[in-house]
Amino acid sequence: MRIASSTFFSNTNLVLQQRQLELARVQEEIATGRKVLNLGKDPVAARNMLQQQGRLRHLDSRRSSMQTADMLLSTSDGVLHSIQEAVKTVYEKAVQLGNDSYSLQDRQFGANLVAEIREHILDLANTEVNGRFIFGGLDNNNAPYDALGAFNGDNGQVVVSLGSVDPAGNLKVVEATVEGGQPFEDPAGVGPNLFGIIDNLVAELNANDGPGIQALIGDLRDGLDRVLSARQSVGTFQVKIQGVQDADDLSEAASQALLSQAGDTDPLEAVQRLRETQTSFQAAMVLASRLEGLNLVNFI
Amino acid sequence: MPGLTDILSLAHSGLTAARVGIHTVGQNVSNSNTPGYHRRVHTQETRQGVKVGGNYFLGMGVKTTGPERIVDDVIDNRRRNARSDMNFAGSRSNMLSRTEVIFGDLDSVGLTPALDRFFDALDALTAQPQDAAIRTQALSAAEFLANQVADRAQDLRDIRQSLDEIVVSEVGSINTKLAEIAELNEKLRFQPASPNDLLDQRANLLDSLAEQIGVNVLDNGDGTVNVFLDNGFALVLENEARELTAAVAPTGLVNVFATNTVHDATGTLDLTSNLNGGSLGGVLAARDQDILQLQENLDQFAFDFINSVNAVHVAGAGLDGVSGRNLFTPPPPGVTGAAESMSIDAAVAGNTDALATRSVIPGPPPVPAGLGDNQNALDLAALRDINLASGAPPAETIRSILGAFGDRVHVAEIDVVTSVAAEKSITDLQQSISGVNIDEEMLNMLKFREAFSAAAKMVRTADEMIQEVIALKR
Repeated sequence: MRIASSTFFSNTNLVLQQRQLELARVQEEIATGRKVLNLGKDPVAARNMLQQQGRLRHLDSRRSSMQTADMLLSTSDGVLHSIQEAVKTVYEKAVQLGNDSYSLQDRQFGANLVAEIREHILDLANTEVNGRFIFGGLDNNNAPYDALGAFNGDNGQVVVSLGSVDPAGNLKVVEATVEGGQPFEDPAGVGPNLFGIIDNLVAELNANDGPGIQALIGDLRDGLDRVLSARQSVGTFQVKIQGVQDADDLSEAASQALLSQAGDTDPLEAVQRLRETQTSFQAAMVLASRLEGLNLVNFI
Repeated sequence: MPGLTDILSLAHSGLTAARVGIHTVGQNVSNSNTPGYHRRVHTQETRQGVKVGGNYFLGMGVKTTGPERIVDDVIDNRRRNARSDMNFAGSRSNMLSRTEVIFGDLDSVGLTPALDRFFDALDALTAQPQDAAIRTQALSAAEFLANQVADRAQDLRDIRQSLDEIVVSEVGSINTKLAEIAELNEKLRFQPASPNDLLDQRANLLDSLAEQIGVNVLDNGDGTVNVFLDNGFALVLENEARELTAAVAPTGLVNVFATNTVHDATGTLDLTSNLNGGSLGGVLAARDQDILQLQENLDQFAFDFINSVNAVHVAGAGLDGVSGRNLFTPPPPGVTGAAESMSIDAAVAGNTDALATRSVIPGPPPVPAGLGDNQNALDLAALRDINLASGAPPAETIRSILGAFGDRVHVAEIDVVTSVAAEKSITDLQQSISGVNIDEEMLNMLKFREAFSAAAKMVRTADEMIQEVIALKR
């Protein structure tokens, strides 16, 4: 077959351009550490990268939300622990001062102490974090308990989105607080709340009424149980958050691996490819330089 | 019987043939790099001899029949089509690459990060629905998302409109070529001789035209050619060229129309969708198919997303207790333009209290839940995983849109590679037929120089013979 002289040059030009393009691409790949730099380079890998990048951003955001929830729960736990200790003290005082061996003076002294503890519990029940009263339920903009111990919140519960829905289409959430008033209110809504019980105790102590004091011990035990139950709930929520965080850590590691697999360059392989491309580019340049004089003109 | 002077005549014919042969070599060498040039081959034949004495013929030398233009019309047409395909793929790929860079999603900027940021802010809002800073952040994330969608949609519109100038410029250049081809047809019609240079000039114009738009060329057998689009629309019929015009179509973009200068005269015809080859075809395919599809997908996403978010937002109440407000400005009727018009609704813009994080307790009368209620924020956050009307959650929809566009970019890049390879292959074949080989020409030059020298020697010998005959008389 004949060949036109210009074919030598056009072919060499094409080879040079292709090699230059390959060289530029592998250089960019090594410089950036990524083999997929645009959507069109590898659409399947790009889709995977977008998915994993989104997943990682989501996990990052979720971690932040869960930290907020965890902070609220940790605060709740600490406060409930203090309340538990305080109620326990009141309970012990009631058991102690319910004994007939105590005088009016002893009981009045005890009543003063219990009243002080009540104020302390009231302060704790109105604990505020970032402007939100953690025992006020969802109506948590104002202190849930007034000086008389009346509850002004609601029985709602603050939950935090995990940013995904379950198969039934319900948003997955973690609880960030206990239900409003849960540690202090009678769940049946019939009897007095914790402050009412303590107020009754103070009254009985001041009245030096031993049987009356003893009769309140059961109520106090119930109150203490409610605080303990609330603490248990907080612990359960914290465990749930920890479980989600542990799962997220694994998920994050998996997403990082998938992201890297989809988009990152294997440096060794890329450097090897760079060498090969450089060699073939040099060969193409040598070829181009040898084209001159490769014809009969120089021999006539 | 031939005399001595006939030998001179015979030698002269040899000199002429060799001179023309060398001239042909010179023409080939000079044009070895001229686009569209087809090599010439010197052709000659024996001049008819003279009958001598009734028994035999004496040859009378050589007759030059002229340089022959070496061409294979089938291969030339295939090459023309291959160049058209290559330019189509190249310009389409270029346009898509230009478009691709406006989506920096792989570099964590763009639509998907903005969407994630929006939902992340809603997640944060569920944790602290009354926190002013968190509410500001959520509103700002919504605004950022709206701006990102609107900006990308505007970028796409700008890219499509920026092609108007290219269309106008290309149409001007195409018209010039069509007119020149028609003019050359006129010159070439019924030419007795072979006007090789004019044929090359026309072939070059046809090549160049094919590089701009896909054309089919039909040889009429009388020296003229007709030029058609793929759909059979005639651009050149013999010596008449149809003039194309670039004008604004109802879409607001510049399209290519035909005015009727050939055979019919009824209105104008929009040829845009029939330009399926060449660089102009590639640009138009990118504009009217690939980028348009992306624009439509983005509009559909914006339409569905805005409606989905607004449906939840209107059901909730802000910190101010007011419900029934949209978060995003409702899209215009229909889907078109939904992306570019995406913005925060005026009732909410700049008013973080208006973010509907609270649920509304059904009445009568309906009343907003407590200030700390985050049920509506939770409902808004749940939209992250809830399918839009298009059948997939928002982030997956965006990824699907970008992925589909990435597929188009990828396929266009593959088309470039394959079309370049195909063009190279057919060009090599075409050049093997019609291209100039310098070595071959040098050999021809030596051959004709030798022939010229030999013929010159013949003249000298004949001259000497004549001198000797004259000397006999002295």
